[in-house]
Amino acid sequence: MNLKKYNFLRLIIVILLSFSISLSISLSNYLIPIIAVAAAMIILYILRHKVNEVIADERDYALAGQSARYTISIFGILMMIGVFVLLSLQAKNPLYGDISSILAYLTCFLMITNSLIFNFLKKKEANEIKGFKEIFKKYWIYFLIALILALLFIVSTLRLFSGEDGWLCENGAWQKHGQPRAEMPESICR
Amino acid sequence: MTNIIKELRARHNLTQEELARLAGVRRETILFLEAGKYNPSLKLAHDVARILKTNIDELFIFNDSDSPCQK
Repeated sequence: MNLKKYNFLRLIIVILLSFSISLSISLSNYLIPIIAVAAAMIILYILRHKVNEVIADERDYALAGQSARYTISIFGILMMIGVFVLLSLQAKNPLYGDISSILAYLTCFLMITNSLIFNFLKKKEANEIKGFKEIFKKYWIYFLIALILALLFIVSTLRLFSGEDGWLCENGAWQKHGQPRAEMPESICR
Repeated sequence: MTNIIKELRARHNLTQEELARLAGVRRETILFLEAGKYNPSLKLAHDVARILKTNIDELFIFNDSDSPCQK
C-alpha cells in the first residue's frame, strides 16, 4: 500500500470515528466511542505496517517534538487563564469552582507527565535506565506525586458528578439533596 | 551551511523520490535538505553521503558563520 492510499483510509477512519462519537452523544451511549477508538487504533496499526513507504522520518519527529512543546505551553497558559476566570465567577455559580479545580489538576497532570517522559527519554538516551524496577527506585517520589494528584483528581471528579449536595428533580419539583451550595435551579423540572 | 546534494544526485541519475527511499526518509526531507532548510542528523548525513558515493565533508559545506566556536 502506498502513502496516498494510507492517508485516504486514515481520513475515512477519522470521519467514521467522529460520526460514532456524534452518534454516542445523541444516543447517550458512551460505550460506542470507546469501542470505535479501540477499533480505529487497531486498524490504523495494521494499515501502518502495510505501507511500503516512509510515513514519518527524523524531520517529522523533530517537528512533532517542537509542536508538542508549543502546544503544552499554549495549553498551560490558556488553562491557567481559564482557571482564574472560573474561580472569579465562582460566586455566581459554585460549579465553576469545581470545573476550575478539574482543569487545574488536568493541567498539572499534563505538565508532570510531559516532564516525566522527557526525563525518562533523556536518561534512556544516556543509557542510565535499564528496567522499570530501576526507574521506580530512582523516581519513586514522582510516582507518589502522580498518585496523589490522580487521587485528588478522582475525588474532585466524583464530588462533581456524584449528585451529592445538589438539587434533584423528583416528581416535577426540585428537591434539596444534602447541603447544596448553589441556589435552586430556575429551569423547569419535568 | 550549503550542500551539493542536488548536483551529486543528478550525476547519479537519482530522483528525489529514489534518494529518499534509499536513505529511508520522505521526499520532502530531501527537498528541504537540498534547499539547505534542514540540518540533518549525523546518521542521515552519513547515509546520504554514502548513497551519493562521497563523504560528509564534501557533501556539506560549512561556513565559518555557522559555527559559534569560530567567533
